[in-house]
Amino acid sequence: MLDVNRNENIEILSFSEVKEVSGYVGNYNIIVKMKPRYINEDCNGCGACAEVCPVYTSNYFDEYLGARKAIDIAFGQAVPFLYDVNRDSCVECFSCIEACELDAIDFSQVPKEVKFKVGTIIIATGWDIYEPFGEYGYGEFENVITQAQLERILAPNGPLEGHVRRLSDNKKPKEIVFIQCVGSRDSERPYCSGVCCMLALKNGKLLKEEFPDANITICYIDIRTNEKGFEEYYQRAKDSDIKMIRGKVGEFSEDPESKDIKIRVYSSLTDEIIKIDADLVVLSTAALPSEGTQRIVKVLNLDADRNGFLTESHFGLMPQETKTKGIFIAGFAQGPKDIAYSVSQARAAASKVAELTAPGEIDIELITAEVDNEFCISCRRCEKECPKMAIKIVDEEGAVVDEINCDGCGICATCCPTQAIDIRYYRDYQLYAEIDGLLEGG
Amino acid sequence: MEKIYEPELRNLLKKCYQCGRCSGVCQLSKVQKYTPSKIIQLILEGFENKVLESGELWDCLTCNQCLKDCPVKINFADIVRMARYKMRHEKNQSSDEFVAHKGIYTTISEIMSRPYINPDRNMDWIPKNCKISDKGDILYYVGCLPFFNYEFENLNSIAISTLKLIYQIEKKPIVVFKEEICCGHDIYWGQGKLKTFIKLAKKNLEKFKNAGVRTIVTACAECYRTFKIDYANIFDEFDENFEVKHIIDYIYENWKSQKIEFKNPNKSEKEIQFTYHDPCRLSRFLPENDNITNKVREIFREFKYLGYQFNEMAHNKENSLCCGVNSWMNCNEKSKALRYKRMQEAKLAGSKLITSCPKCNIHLTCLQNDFEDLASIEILDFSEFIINHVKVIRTKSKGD
Repeated sequence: MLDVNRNENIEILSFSEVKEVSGYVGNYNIIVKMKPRYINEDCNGCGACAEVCPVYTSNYFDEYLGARKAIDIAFGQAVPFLYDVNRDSCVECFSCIEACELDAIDFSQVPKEVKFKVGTIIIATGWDIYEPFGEYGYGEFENVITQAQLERILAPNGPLEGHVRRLSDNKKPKEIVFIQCVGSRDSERPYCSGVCCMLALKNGKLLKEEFPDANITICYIDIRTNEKGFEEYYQRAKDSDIKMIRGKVGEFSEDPESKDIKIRVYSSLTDEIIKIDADLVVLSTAALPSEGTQRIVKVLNLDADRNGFLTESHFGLMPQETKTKGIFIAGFAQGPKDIAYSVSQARAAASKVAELTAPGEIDIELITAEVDNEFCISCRRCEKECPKMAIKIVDEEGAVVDEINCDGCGICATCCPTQAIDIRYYRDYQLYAEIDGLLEGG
Repeated sequence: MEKIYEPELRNLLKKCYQCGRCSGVCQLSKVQKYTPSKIIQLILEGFENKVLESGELWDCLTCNQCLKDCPVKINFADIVRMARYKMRHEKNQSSDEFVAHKGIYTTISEIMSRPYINPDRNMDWIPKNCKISDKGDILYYVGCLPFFNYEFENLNSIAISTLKLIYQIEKKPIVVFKEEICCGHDIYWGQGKLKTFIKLAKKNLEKFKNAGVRTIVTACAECYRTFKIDYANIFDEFDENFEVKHIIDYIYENWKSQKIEFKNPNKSEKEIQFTYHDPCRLSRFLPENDNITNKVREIFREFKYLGYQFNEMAHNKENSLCCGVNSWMNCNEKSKALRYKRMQEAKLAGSKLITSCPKCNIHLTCLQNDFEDLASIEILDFSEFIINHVKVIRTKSKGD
C-alpha cells in the first residue's frame, strides 16, 4: 500500500465511492463522491486529537472487539495516514481542534464530487465477512467469535495485543474448537469460501504455539488444501496435535455460569457422537461479495452471479474481462480466492489494461446495429433488452446506437416490433445472398 | 399421486454433502444410536434395501430437528415417512411392535377410513351454553380428544375450552361434526399407511364441503399441520376453499383486531411462573413465514399484566426438545428419558407448563405418574390456560 501511495503515477481516492460512470473504452467519465473525513491533508498523524477526544466508540477495523476514539485513525497502516472523525458518535466538544497544532481539523467539510476521465477500469472491490447472528450462538454467547475476530485478536496491534483470551473472563482458553463452513455451502450461499480451511489450520497452529497444553479441535466437513504447499501445511497442523473431526457441529449450548460452550458433534469417520466442553469457539464464516461489489454492479451495469460475485466474460479463457470493453475485474470480487490467486489476477488485469491502452487507439468491429428511424416507434424495447446499454431512445430521433459499445449481438434487431433495426453485414438481403450463393455452389 | 406413493428416495437426498450436522442434533441420538447422515449416505451409495430391511427407520421420532439445522434443507422426516410406506409394502414389515397402546388409536383411524363407516360420536362433552350445528362457515375440528378421554384423564376439557372460546367470540352456532373422522396424521407419519391416509383425507374434504365450511379451527398441532400442509399438498383447491387456523392463530387474530382482550378477575399477588412447550408440528414443521411460535409468545407477554410471568425453557421455539413420542410410535424407556429431560427443563422454568398439542400433553402428563419430582408441574393446553382470561369486547352493543 505504501509503495502504491509513493508512486507518482498512482492517485488514491480513499474514503470515496464511484457514483456514476459514462462513456466507453478509452473515454470513461467518472464521478466519484468523496466522503468528508473532517480532516484535511495537513494532518501528519501525530495523534494529539485522539488523545484529547473524550468519546470511545466500537472499532470497525478490530471487528468491533476494541474501541477507537470518535476522532482516530482507521488502523495503524492506513493509507493515506490521515485521521478521521466519526460524526455519528462525535459530541462536537471541539477539544481536538484546540489540540491540533497544524489546524488540520475542519468540521465544515462536506461530501465533494470529483470528476475525471479514464481509459479503462479495474474492479477489485474485495469481500466482506458473513456475520452469523443467530447461528451457533454468535452475538449471544460471549466466547463464540468469528475467524475474522480471531485474526484481530492474534494481531499484535489488535484489541488484545496478540494474546488470545476468553472474552467472557479474560482467561487463557484450554479447549478451543473451530467450526468450518458456517454460512457457506448452504442453500442460501451454496459456494465454498475457499480460504477458511487454511485459515483455520494456520490459526490453529498459532494457538497451539501459544498454548501448547490446549486442546484444539477443527470440526470440518471437507478440508480443501488444493494449492501449492497447502496439503503439506495441513499435515504439519496435524503433526502439531490439532485434532480433526469430520462433522459439522450439531447441538450447541452455553453453560450460563462458566460461559463454556457445550458442543455435540457427530464424527462421521468413527460413527461416534463426540461431546466437547469448549471454552472458546471460532466460527469460520462465509466470505461474501462486498457491499462495494454489489454497488458497482449497478453503477457499471455489469452482471453478477446468484451469489453476487461479478461475472467474467469467459470462466476459463477471459477471466479478467467483463462484458463491457475496457472494464476488468480482479480478486475476490470475481469469486472466492486466496491472496496468491488474487495477486495473479490483479497482474493479469493490469497487463490486459496495458495491452488495450498502450497502442493509444483501438480497433472496433463494424458489426453493429443500425436503425432506420423512419420505422422506429420509440417503444424502448431495444433499450430495455440491450445487455450493454448501447442503444437509447433520443426524443426526436428515435433509437440511437452507441457504436463503440455495441457488440452487434442482434438482440435489439430481434425484439424490434417494426423491424427498424438491422445488424451491419447481417442485413436480410445479405443473408439471402449468402444462402443463394451457398445453394448455387452446391 | 404416484409420486407420493413410490418416491425414489435417492433423488430426494442428492444435495447432501455429509456435513453430519443432522446426526449431531438428532434428538433420538441422545438416547440411542441413530445417525440420519449415515442412513442418507447408505441410500445414496445404493444400499436403500439394506436400510429399509433393517427396520431402523421405525425408530425415528420425526421431530424434524434435522431439517431445521440442515444447510441444504433435506427433509429427513419426510423421507422416513415415505420409507415407512416402502417398508410396509415392499418389505412386508409390520409396525405393530412399535405402536403404543396396542395400536387402538391408529386402528380407530383405519376403521374410519372405510367408505361405509360413519362414526356416531359421543357429544355429551359439549357445554350446555354452546350452540353447535351441522352446517356453517366455522368448523371446530375436535380430533381424537373424546376418544382419548376414556384412557387419559381430563382431556375433554381441551375440547370444552376451545369450543367455549370460539363460541364466545363468534356468538353463533359452531359446526362440530357428530360424524367427524380422523385427520389421518398418525397413520400417515407413523405407520406409512399412505393409502389409508388419502382415503381419510378425501372423506374429510367431502365432509367439509358438504357442511359449507370456510374456516377450520383446531386445538391440535397435528391436525393443524395435516390440514394446512399435507391436505393442501394432495388437493390443489384445498387452500382456496378452506382457511385452517390453530386456536393460537385464531385467538391471536381476534386479539389483534380487538375483538377480545385478556383479563384476570382473580389476579393473585404473587406472579405465577409458567412456560411453554413448542410442539414440533407447530415449530419445526411449518414454513418459515408461519410464526405461530412468535404469536403465542406475544400473547404470553401480554399475560404479564395478568399476574403471569412467562419463562423460556433452555430449548425453545425451533429447538424445543421432543415430547418423546410421535404418532403413537415407540413409547418405551428411551422415549421416557427424552420426556424426562423436557420435564426437567420445564421444572426450572415454572410451575405451569402450557402446550398446544394434546399428544405432548398426554405424553408429558403420563411421565408425571412415574416421577414424583415432576408431579408438581401443572400441564395445561393453551385453550385451558386462557379460557378464563378471555373477555370479548362488545363494541357494537354500546351503539345499540
